[in-house]
Amino acid sequence: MPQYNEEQKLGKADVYVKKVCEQIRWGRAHKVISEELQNHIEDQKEAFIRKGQKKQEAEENAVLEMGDAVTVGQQLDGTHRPKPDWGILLLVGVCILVSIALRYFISLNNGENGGQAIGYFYSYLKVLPFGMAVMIGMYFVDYSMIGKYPKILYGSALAVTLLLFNFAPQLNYVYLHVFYCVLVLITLYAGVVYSQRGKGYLGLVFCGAVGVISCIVFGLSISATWLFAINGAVIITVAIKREWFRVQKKHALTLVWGPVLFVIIAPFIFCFRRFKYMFITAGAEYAQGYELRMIRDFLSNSKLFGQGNLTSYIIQQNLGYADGRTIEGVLPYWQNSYCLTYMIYKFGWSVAVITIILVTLLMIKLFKIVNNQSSQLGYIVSLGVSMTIVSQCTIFLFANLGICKFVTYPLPLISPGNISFIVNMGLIGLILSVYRNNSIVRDKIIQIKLVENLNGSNVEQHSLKLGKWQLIMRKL
Amino acid sequence: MKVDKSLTSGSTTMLVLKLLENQDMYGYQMIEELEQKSNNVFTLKAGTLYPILHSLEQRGMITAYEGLSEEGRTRKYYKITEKGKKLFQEKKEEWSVYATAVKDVLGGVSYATV
Repeated sequence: MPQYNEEQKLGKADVYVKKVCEQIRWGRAHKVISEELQNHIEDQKEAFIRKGQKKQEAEENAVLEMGDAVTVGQQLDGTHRPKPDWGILLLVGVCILVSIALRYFISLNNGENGGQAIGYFYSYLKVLPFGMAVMIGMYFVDYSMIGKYPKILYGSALAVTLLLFNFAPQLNYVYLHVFYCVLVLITLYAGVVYSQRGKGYLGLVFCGAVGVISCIVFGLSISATWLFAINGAVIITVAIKREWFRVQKKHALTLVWGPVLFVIIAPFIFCFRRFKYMFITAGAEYAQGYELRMIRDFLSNSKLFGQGNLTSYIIQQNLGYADGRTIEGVLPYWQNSYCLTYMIYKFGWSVAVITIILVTLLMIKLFKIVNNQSSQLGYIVSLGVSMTIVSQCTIFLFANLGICKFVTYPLPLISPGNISFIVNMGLIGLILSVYRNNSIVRDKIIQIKLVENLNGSNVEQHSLKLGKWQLIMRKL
Repeated sequence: MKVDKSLTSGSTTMLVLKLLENQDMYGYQMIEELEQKSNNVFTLKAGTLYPILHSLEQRGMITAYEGLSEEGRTRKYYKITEKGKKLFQEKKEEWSVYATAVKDVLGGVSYATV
């Protein structure tokens, strides 16, 4: 015979639920669990009332049916222990160690700029704890804010991007801060798309308008525009496929990808001369395709293990021997943007293999989090973060492996770049937060008008309203 | 007929997954369905069910979403995942082996020679 405490005998549902929650240490889980238990007690109470019991009696019996509050609470506490994805933390740790070793090695080899190089290394060591603090901070943040205040967050981030044009450094008319702002904006944009669920073509157009305005803000930074447009389009495509907009999928997809493909292809059409040197080097005038040609040359002279052969950039043309020049003296940005090309030449292709394996493992773990999300919000936010990181990896690897070179930005967490490090640590912290809160984040319920064809005539069916939220999303 | 609780506790997870195999359900609905299907042999308490459901959700065997019941109240519906279906098959096989073994020990034909 189970022992019931006094409160249970008094039959108060909310007292029971409170007692259960007292056993659950994770405060954030209380709301979701309370709601579920309260609803259950209500259902049970109604069942007893239908059997002829009085209201007071029914509630008492319904509470008794639940079981001992403390035991239940303790068991629920056992399942609601918020924790990070340890696999990802391990990979982040490995990436950081690789980064420290890489930067140290680079600082040793920086012959001409000796003093400055070791300075960069020490500045990274100082930034390291700050980056970790950012990751931990984002981990404890309630990421569902992105779903609750998407427009405010996105608008603020865009405003900051605009403001920074007054302060940020620029290179050849391109403001360097824009790229890093886009890294943040992509995930916030996912929140904007989420807010347009159930709004049909109007919602789709709204997302498109936000996208267009953002691209205008990015100004002359074509790389930022491409990065944002492609990732944004993929996010909207996923939303369309998940029936968030409830529109004709084919029409909607054309509406999205038409303009985006135009944005991507337009530079090739209007400035073909400049953009073709992203891929080809033949016939390039001085400075155009120069870097790409050099990278390909160094790579083709690299071995599997050990330092590569002398290349035409190092050998003096007429005399056939190295004239004292080294790769460090010849390859631009070998210390940061092209550090992988540099390491491949110095130590062999095995370095590239290890890097690619590390990066692939990270991406697999990230997408695993995406796939295991219970809520639509969790899915789209984690997708935004994952794609942002994948995009950066792709840009870096394509450039360093001589496939395609347009801009060069750091490989997240690994290659030198302090701002990149901090931003990416923030993104990792955010996706860890998504993972942590999976069991308690719930999507808002929204309502749509369903028109059914019943016996040849159109019947309008309204679903029930719940306060200001309206639609039933039954499918996941 | 009421049976010893210890007999059912091991298989509760399997029964819960079975309920979700063909239909998404919320907690109270599962308890009613289980009672009905087992002719009142299995009367699961909510306090037993919810920890199991939350644990299965943590492990990725089921996912949950908010829905509305016919009466118009918010409900946390549970849905089985591919991983959960695999677990269910495993548990079902385990149970089959167990049940056959019990049956053999209890009621096997005796081939005692006279």
